[in-house]
Formats: sequence, C-alpha cells, structure tokens
Amino acid sequence: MDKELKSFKGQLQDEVIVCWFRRHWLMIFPRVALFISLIGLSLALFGLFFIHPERFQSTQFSVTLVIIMIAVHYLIHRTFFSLSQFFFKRTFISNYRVVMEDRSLFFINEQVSIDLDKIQDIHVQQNGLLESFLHFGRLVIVLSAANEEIHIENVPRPHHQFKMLHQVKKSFWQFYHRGANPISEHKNGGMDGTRTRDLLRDRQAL
Amino acid sequence: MFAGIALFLISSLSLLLCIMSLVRLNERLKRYALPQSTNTLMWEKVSIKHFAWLYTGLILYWFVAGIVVGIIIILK
Repeated sequence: MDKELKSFKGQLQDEVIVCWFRRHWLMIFPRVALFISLIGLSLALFGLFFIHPERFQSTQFSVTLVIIMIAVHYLIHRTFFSLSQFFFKRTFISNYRVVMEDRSLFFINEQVSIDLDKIQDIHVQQNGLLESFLHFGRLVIVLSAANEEIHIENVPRPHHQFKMLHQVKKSFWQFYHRGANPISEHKNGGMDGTRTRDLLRDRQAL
Repeated sequence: MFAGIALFLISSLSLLLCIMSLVRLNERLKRYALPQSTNTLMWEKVSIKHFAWLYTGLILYWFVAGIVVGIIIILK
C-alpha cells in the first residue's frame, strides 16, 4: 500500500479498513455552538468599538480591550483544537485489529490496538432516552487476557459497528481455524484484500 | 501606548499559531486518506476543513481588528 493512502499511522502494508467511525456529533455540539457564539461576539464587539470611538481615550478601556482580545483568541484556538481532536479521534476496524486513535493537532497522540484474536466478547450498551433517540451508545470489548474490558464511548450507530466487528471477528476466526497463521498466509494470498473485499460487499447487506 | 503594542503582539502571535495549525492540519489530511465512512448520516459530511475556514476567518478578523485598534490607541 502506498504511504499516501494510509488511513492511520502505523497501518500495515496489507491491512484493509473494513469500517471506521468517530464519536457521535453530540460530543462536538457544545464546541460548535461556542464557535458560532464567537462569530456573533466578534460582530457585536466590532459594533461596540466603532460606534463609540471616544472610549479609546480611556486607559481602563484599553486594558479591558487587551484582556478581551486575549480571552477571545484563547477561545478561538481552544475551540478549534477541540474540534480537530474530535475529527482525529477515530476507531478503525481492520482485517487484523481494532485501532483506537486519539490525536489532536499538537498535544495528544495516542493509539490503542487490539488484535482480533484477543477479543473474547463484544457488548453494546445503549441506555437512556437521548442515546436511543440520537442513536449512539457504548461498545465494550472484553479481552481474552485477564478479563480486561475496553470501553469505546459515544459510538454512533453502535449496533451497526457491533455487527461489523462481529463479522470481521467471525471471518478472522474462520480463517484461523483452518490451521494456518492468517498473517503468514495473508502474504500467500490468504486473508487478503479479496477476503476483505468480500467483507466490504457483505456490509452493504447489513 | 502599551495596550496598543500588546494588541499588536497578541494578534501577531495568534496569527502565527493559526498558520502553524493550518500547516499541521493540511499535512495530516494529505498524509492519511480515509475510506468512505459507513455512517452516511448528514453530519458525517461536515469536515474539519469547514471549521478550518471559519477558524481562519475569525483569526483574520481579530488580527485586522487588533492591528487597527492598536494603531488607534498608539496614535490617540
């Protein structure tokens, strides 16, 4: 696979993304609202500054202006960084593993990878009126080692992702139980792009 | 006078941070291409690029406002 076409950092040469998702839009709603409010605030302050130019004579007003300027710039940058974090916080389900990526523009760079053979159970939880109405919930992945659980919060359409994950896991295990190492057989034309393309075709039927 | 210089500095630093963020964002968007999402809901079509335009607009607005007001305060 060409480097340019990778979907996330560390993607393997023959790894194909079957499905990916971000968090639900409700998670960025407050930030988007703040962003829109900042535009409104900007226009309002523009009017205030230029309707009353005599206020520029006051030192107190100038100091207030500097404080407002610092606060507004901080809020704009902070909001944009949060928005970018939302867009780069993604979960990928590939033919080998589940990758949870959490990145921001400068400050955060985290990646958690769970191999499909380490997944014992998957639970989907959708509790409450808001989650039912807006179609989001929680995916709980139970790992085979030490009964550890990994929670993926605020997943949009959790039942769909649940089905996809099950389907990928099932395909992986069917392949695994043929007695071959899927990774090495993969290189010899085993669980390769063809198999994944079948999965991708199947997902249309879900 | 000092308030005017402070406004100049804040606006310039903010614009610099904005440029750095946009360069970083552009680099990341070019390097990683996402396959089509299985979520075909309308809100999934909203991209970070739309917010990047708004962000640039807001920062440019405040940059110009900061410079203009800074000049007014210095010249008063």
